[in-house]
Amino acid sequence: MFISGEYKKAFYLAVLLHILLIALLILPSLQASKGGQPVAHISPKAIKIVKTKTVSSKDVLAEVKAIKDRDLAIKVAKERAIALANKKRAEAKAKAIALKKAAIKSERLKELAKQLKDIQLKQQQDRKKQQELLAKKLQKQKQEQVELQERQEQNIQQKAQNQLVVDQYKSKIAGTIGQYWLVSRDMDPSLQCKFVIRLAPGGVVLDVTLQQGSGNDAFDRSAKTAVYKASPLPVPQDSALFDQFREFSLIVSPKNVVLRSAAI
Amino acid sequence: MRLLYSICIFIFCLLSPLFVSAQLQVSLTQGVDAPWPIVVQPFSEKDPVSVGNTTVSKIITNDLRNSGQFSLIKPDVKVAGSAAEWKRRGANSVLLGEISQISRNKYQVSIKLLDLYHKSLNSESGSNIILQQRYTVSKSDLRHLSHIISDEVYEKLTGVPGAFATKLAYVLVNRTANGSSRYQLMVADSDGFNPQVLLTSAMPIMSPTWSDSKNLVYVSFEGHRSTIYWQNIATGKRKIISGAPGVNGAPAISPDGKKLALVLTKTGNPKIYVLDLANRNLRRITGGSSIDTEPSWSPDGKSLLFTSNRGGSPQIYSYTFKDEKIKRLTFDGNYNARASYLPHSNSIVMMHRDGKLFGIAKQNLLSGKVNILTRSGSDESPSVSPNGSMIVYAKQNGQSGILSMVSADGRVKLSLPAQAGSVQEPAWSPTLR
Repeated sequence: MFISGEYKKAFYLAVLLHILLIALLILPSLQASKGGQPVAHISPKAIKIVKTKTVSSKDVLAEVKAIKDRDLAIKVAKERAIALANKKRAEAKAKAIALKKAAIKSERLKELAKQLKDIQLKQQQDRKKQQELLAKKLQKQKQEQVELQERQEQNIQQKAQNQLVVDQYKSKIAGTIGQYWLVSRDMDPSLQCKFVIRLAPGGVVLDVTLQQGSGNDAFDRSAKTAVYKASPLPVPQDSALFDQFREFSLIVSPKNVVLRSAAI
Repeated sequence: MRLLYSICIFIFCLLSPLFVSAQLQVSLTQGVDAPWPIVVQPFSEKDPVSVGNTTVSKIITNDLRNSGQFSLIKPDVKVAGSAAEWKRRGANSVLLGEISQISRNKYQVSIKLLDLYHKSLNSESGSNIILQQRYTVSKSDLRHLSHIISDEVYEKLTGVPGAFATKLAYVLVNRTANGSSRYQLMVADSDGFNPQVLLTSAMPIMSPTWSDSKNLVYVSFEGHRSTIYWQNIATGKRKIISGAPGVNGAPAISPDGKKLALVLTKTGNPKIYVLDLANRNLRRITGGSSIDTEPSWSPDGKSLLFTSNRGGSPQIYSYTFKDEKIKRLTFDGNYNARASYLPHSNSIVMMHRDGKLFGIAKQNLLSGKVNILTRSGSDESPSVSPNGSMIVYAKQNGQSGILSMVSADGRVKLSLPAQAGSVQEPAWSPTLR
């Protein structure tokens, strides 16, 4: 049987309690059967046989004696019968008492067992209930997690979708400016400058601000001129996405200068 | 459970602005290597000042066009021009100038270089003056001033100093009536104008080179033996700096002006030597039985390039002074000679023959890649402009040689005005200023 760690302790406690209860119930009855059981006492005096003495007047005496003997015998027999009956009765009574006691005991035991069973059942039920409750809680938790995850995934997907569009426009913008960017192939490829570009809706270049010069003014100017000449720049139609392009930075570096006719 | 959920939501809400509020970054790495469109407006309409048969603005226009870095948009002659109109024509920049005569032989020239894309396209006042100068010169200096203005515009717009206000030295050979040859040492402006004769000789003049912007060094065979002379251009005064027995050839002054690399035949075959001009100490650089010639200094003066046939065919080698090591640099082609360093790049320029055609080639020293710039079949003696943007060479055209130029990227080729005779061994001067 599998018992989860959490309930192991409770279970063992319950088992211990049961053992203790059983022990408490069994111990007194054991003691009773040892010394407490009542036994029918028959006095040895009751079984004393009366002895008669013979007198001189033979017949009468004998008669009397006979009668007396008979009487005595009867009396004795009677007494004996009574004694026997008494004994039997006592025995029966004792037996009945014993039987009754045994019956009571067994009933009590039965009752106790029943009680125990009830307790066990109740405990089991409680446990089951608890487990069910726990399972329910876990399930609920799981569901909530799944929902959260779904929501996050949806969010991420939406974000990824947006990012894709933004990236597309980023390369479109770079491509458009690049067509107007006149730069020598002999230009030092380690040169880099950074502009902040502000756009109006529709992509019209409002202004180009040099944020970090390359140290080569001609190089910086060539890039700035290209941005102005490329106006209007391609931007997303969606206004929320356009907001990202309202003001963006342009990092310029002559890594890939090709020899071809410019858009001028 | 609710708490955990709330915490998750809270963290999510906390993080989400990060994705939104970080400023968008666009990366621009691809551009077009094409000429920069510029308008050079005529400097003076009412009183055009002629310089020879041309004008200041025409000289500048010519300079800029010849550099290959600019496309010259036809100026608007009717109206003074507006930013919008220049932009409509595709210009990025406009050069405006004025010339006025301030005394009998004094002219004042003022220029303004406009950046048409300083501000938004829609803004009329978008142009911005990025260069403004005023000069006062005599009439004879107007041509030189034009080249100086070209240099200024060139540097402003390309970031590289111009080399228009420089000079070319070369040897001009003419056949005389009696069948002999006449050799002349010439110096002209970088556009070939103003040729001046420095020396005329019946014997060959060879290997002119610039000691500095005012002095030339060359080999003359006057007296029937080769001698290396030093000569001042302005005064014409000259002196012998090497007259050793045998061959005295291929002089090259070190960048600091203190040493002369040359070729002597003291051991039999031509070998590279370095002469200390102050103490006359002579040091042999190369040995062996090969022919070693045409030494050329690196810009830092720490090494020499030279031509040697030690590998069988003429190829370019380098010699490093520090460790005295010689290294072969060229492996492409069956003839490489007359090498010189291209400033501001890890390249050398040389005469190159691949198959039967002689041309001018550029080799990247890091990658070893050879880039053929010209291949007319008889292009000789390349010499690089001080800014490294152009290479002048002698192009043999039948019996006569003419001065030709090619940009260091190979994009622009041009020939300078022809003159009577055959041009040989042009040498580009250092920056004059």
